Amino acid sequence: MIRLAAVGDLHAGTDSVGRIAPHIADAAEHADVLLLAGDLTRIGTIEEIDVLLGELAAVELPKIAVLGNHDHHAGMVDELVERCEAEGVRVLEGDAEVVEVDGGTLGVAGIKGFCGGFPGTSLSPFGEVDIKVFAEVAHVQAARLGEVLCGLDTDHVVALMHYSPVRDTVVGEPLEIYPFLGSGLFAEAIDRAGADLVVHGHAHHGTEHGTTPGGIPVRNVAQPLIGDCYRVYHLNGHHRRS
Amino acid sequence: MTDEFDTPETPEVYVVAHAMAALASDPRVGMLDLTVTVAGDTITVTGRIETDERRRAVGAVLAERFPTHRIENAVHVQSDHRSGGEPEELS
Repeated sequence: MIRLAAVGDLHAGTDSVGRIAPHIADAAEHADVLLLAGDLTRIGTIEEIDVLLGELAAVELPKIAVLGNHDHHAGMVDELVERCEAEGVRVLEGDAEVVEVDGGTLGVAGIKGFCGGFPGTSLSPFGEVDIKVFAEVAHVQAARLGEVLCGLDTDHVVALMHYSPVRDTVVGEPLEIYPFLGSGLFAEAIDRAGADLVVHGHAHHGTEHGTTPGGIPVRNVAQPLIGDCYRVYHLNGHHRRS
Repeated sequence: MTDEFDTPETPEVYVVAHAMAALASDPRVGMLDLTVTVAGDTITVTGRIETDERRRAVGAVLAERFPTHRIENAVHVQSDHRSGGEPEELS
């Protein structure tokens, strides 16, 4: 068995000092790995990521993250990633990390994800160049996530995202903004490659539990949604391949 | 879009849009999921926020952007997250 702790949307700011650590420091008692599903910060500044990294320093676990849209806002993504990696937080964007724990090997494929909507009402790369460029982002990223998942040869596999890959876990948000909360292209890529679990954030008013059309569990761990400072998942048995 | 455009006579739907844009783009707030409603000369903002400092920033940003409106800052501060929780068993 592998034990995962996961949370997204911590939205650390310069006013978060001492507010996160007391609630997350005990994660190592319950989990083997901590997954951070994006929106680590409020607006993506160096000062904010430094606050978060200070809060996470007490968590003695492998820490794996993706960034979210808020982390991109200040245009300092490279600097944020550099800071995270220097402090032991692995940041994934179209790549993977393998962790060996007592329960076996865990492969985490991570990507931020993107907008576009879900099957039946999704955006197609048709018409104006601007629309094509926008829609193509999700197509390219989903294909990349599928490649990364297929390249993992571990006992268990988790897909870590910020945006949702399924409609299930955005239900509760205003219907009008569903296309801005995720893209079903990622679920299709995950179903083709296989995984044990998908973890994401972003939809603060969404739904915690969902599944891909192929039956893979999807969990929305946006902190404002779950209320707890993290969720814990036990991966039992063997990795499922489609 | 000018400040004088956003008066109590401005169609409410535009005021809502401008208020939400201000809360998203102002670095003191940077939030996308607060709810804004407008009734006459009153702008009401609701939702959940992490700290008192951010709650005060919400009120300040709206007061600066909409000086001729009354601001009702009903944002709730919630920072007492529970630790952990029961694990979910997945096969």
